[in-house]
Amino acid sequence: MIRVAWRSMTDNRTRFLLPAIAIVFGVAFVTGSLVYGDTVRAAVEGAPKDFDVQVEQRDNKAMSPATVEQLRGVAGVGGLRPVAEGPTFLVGKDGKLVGTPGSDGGVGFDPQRHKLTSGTAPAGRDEVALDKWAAQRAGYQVGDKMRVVVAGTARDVRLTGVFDYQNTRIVQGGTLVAFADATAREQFAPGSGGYTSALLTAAPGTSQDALATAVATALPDLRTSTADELTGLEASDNDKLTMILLIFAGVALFSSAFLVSNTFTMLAAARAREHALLRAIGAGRRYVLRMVLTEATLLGVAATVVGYLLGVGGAAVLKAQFAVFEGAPVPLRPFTPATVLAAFGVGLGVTLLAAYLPARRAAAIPPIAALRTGLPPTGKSLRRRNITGFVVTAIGTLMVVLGRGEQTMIYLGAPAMLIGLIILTPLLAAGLTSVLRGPLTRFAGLTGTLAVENTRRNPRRTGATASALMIGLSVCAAVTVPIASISAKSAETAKSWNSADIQVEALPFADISPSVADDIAKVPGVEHVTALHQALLPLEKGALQVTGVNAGSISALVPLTIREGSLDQLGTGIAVQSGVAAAHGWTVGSKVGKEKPLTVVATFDAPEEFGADALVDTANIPAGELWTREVLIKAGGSAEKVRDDIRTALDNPVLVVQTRDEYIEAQAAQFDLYLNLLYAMLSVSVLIGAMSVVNTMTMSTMERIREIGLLRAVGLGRSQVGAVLRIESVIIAVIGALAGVVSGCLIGAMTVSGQANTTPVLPWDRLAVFMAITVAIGVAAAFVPARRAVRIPILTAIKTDTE
Amino acid sequence: MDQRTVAVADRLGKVYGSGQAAVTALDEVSAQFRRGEFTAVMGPSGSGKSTLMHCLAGLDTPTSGKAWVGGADLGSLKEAELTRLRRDRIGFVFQSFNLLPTLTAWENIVLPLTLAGTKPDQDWTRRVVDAVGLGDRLGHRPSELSGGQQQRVACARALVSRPEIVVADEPTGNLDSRSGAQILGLLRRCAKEWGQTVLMVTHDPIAAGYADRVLFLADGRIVDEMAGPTPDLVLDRMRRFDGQAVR
Repeated sequence: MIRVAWRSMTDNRTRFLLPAIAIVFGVAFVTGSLVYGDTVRAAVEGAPKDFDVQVEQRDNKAMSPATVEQLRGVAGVGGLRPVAEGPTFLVGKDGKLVGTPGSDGGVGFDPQRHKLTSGTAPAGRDEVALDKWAAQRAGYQVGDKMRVVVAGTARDVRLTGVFDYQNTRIVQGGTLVAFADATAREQFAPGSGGYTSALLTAAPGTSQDALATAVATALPDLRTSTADELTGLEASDNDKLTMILLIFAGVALFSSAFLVSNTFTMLAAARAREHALLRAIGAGRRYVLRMVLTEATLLGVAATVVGYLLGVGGAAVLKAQFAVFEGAPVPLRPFTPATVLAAFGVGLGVTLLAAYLPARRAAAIPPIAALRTGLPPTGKSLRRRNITGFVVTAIGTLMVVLGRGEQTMIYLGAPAMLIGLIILTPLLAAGLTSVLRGPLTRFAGLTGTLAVENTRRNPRRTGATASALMIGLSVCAAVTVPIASISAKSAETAKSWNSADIQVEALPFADISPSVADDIAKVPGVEHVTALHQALLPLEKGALQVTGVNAGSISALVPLTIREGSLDQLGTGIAVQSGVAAAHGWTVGSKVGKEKPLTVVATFDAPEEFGADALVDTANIPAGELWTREVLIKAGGSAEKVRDDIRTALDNPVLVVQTRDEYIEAQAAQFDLYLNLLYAMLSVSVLIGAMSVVNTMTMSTMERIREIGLLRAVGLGRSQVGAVLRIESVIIAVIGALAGVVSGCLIGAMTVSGQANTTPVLPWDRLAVFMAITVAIGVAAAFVPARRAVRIPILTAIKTDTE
Repeated sequence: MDQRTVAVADRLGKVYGSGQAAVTALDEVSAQFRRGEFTAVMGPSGSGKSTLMHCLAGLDTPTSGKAWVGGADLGSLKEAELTRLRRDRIGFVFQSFNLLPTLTAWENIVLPLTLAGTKPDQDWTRRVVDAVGLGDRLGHRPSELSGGQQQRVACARALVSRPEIVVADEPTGNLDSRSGAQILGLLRRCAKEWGQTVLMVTHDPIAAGYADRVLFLADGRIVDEMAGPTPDLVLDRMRRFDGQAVR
């Protein structure tokens, strides 16, 4: 039977091609995600660990030498290595950062761990050593001058040595800059003479967990993490990425199922006589069922094998794309049993599931159909299907609408709504086409009528085809609406919360040095400048979150509404947000603070995004206690010129200097990268949807060769035949797109409207693009079938016994 | 009932539709088919000759009366038993689309045996294949065979399981006269030499001339029976039908 099934497949090669490609894509997606995930996990877990427990101070302050000595005395500690480390960025030859910001670090040079491959250990403040992958990537050699950024300050250093070292962060693409021990301690644990953490190894016979417990008991001020916990943390980030990839793979496979199911349905119709003949000469229903399912199995296996290979290739591309492996090379792990099993499970599973119903219908053909020439009509009533569809859609929609903000309700309701719509697509198709019939007839004449009637001929098929496209576009719309809404909100906020001409922010994971504001003040053309420093002001009970600003400039840069008093004396006092003042019972003249009380000079209101409970002059905050959020600047003259001058003056790639317009634009576009990544992943589903339309057009054209021949015989021109098929295919695509986009927008809008302060925004431009893509898909899908149909000589076409 | 009787139509009736739209295709038709007898069923379009054949072959169910094949009452058989009956006891030759396009000629011939899961009886199969005279074309697919060759493969398939009765529905309808003659000669030979019962529906007097007897159907009833027919006799009889129809 396998041989017969194989022959039947090779005979119908063109028909099996598209569903095979769809399954290949789905399986490749799954395989790629899993192989990528496995590889990253293996890399992270396989990175050498030279400690068992990491110990830090609970308050994230420096660890004093005394504490280190105490640690040495804890039972079970075999070895101890105090460490001074912190975020450090390496500036490349092109002035940009090297590495992956979240994984870039600096540390005190330790000849035991950092094995020099060339050069010497760093000595003094201006010398560093680099891990070899970072040096290789940046193209630096021993003796080169380069810049590093520590605690927001960029400075020139000389590379004295390159060393070989690996840890989980280097494996993930981070760079490691090693400083002389004293320099590292001064930089990362300033003023204390201590360290940032200590790495312990366990004495023989002591487990990681036992050691961590012993330390936590002896020194409760310390926070302990075992090496395994830290690795797990790193690995779980990648597991999340794998999960997300798998979800999109699932969406793609769901679309593929429709394509496969459609193919087998149409094949069953085309081969009805063949099956009936088999039944007439004594094959049971089960035999026909098994025969069709054997074909599905072969298709599934073949597509899975190809998909698997493609997936491994895809993972290799991901590996290259996602910079994660730019550091130490990590071998791809293409064949783990779990991945192989999963790939075959989904590839074969989806194909068989999708083929099962059509196969059953094929098996149910009465033997006498072998003697009939015409195809048996399949006019089963859609009534039950429609009722089911309405109920499921209604339940899903209700859950989505009522579940606003309740994530689980939306997660459950959205799929229900989509499944309901899928069940309803034949009705949608019938409804929409009956509306379209009139206008299209008027607009395109007979071709329009013929096209509409063709889509109405088999509403189930039209519906299933549209469903495949609907799924992808629905998810597209469902992710676009929230992101567009949040982007619009961000842009709105960016416009209103300050009135600065230029803004300076740090890249994620990086800091702004507290002195940056002073450096900027020296740039010509800068009229006002203030940093926004976050700090805590201790009170009698608890502490007050204060924002340190330049007292003389703040009112020129942030739209403050003064409720009481004035900011004239802010240099020596404190201004409190009116709500906070009321909560504490403060008024102008009250004294605030424990050690050096400040007098309240004003109460104010400000845009929520400004986020300050109280304002003080930076001079009144002790150094080392503050964290700089950003710097606001008012420029006299051209903002662009001042911006360029500030950039030149700072010469620090972790600082982003933007004009007001650039800032607003960046705020609005901050999620575009994610959105584009999502689109990239969803494009697979949309592509499969498009192939579904091509598939249906190809097969329905083959079925109608005779009819098309007849139309041409009575005088329909070749271009008109093409037009009929094109309109038909566009109608199918548009039905899917409309259902998808409308449902997706609803899901997206409901997701957003649950979130505080965000109103749903419909991104009309992007939605229009979706529809345009759909129409293009429709036109393209009809191209090959139409060309083939009109190439057949009329006489041959009329004589064709449609299988 | 004669010992040699293989198939019986016992007051078979078939009505399509109901009420006003009811059409009577068969009206209490009774007939017997004996072993080794080659029977042709003739009649104008709509006379019920195809329906009679379908009911006797287990492809269609009569609305009244009974059809027996090899002692089995078709009406009492379940779906699976009916399937087995078609596979083991009835051989089919249709007017067209007789062969599975994906199988070779040989595979098509032994298909009923494959379906039954039995090994081909080498001697018998050889004899059947020799009789249809395909020799070197057995490895070809139907699309590589001529219409006559395809129909001969179909005959071989119908014979290979040694059915009680071979049912042929206009087997020569799509063939040129020479290929047609080959098929008819083949059917007559297996009736004569191998004692194979053959029931053939046709509207071609020449084809009917190969049969041992001819049943004439009109308006769902058997109106005449002719033993030892020749094309001329059959044609004469048919002309009388036409005359009746005109009148």
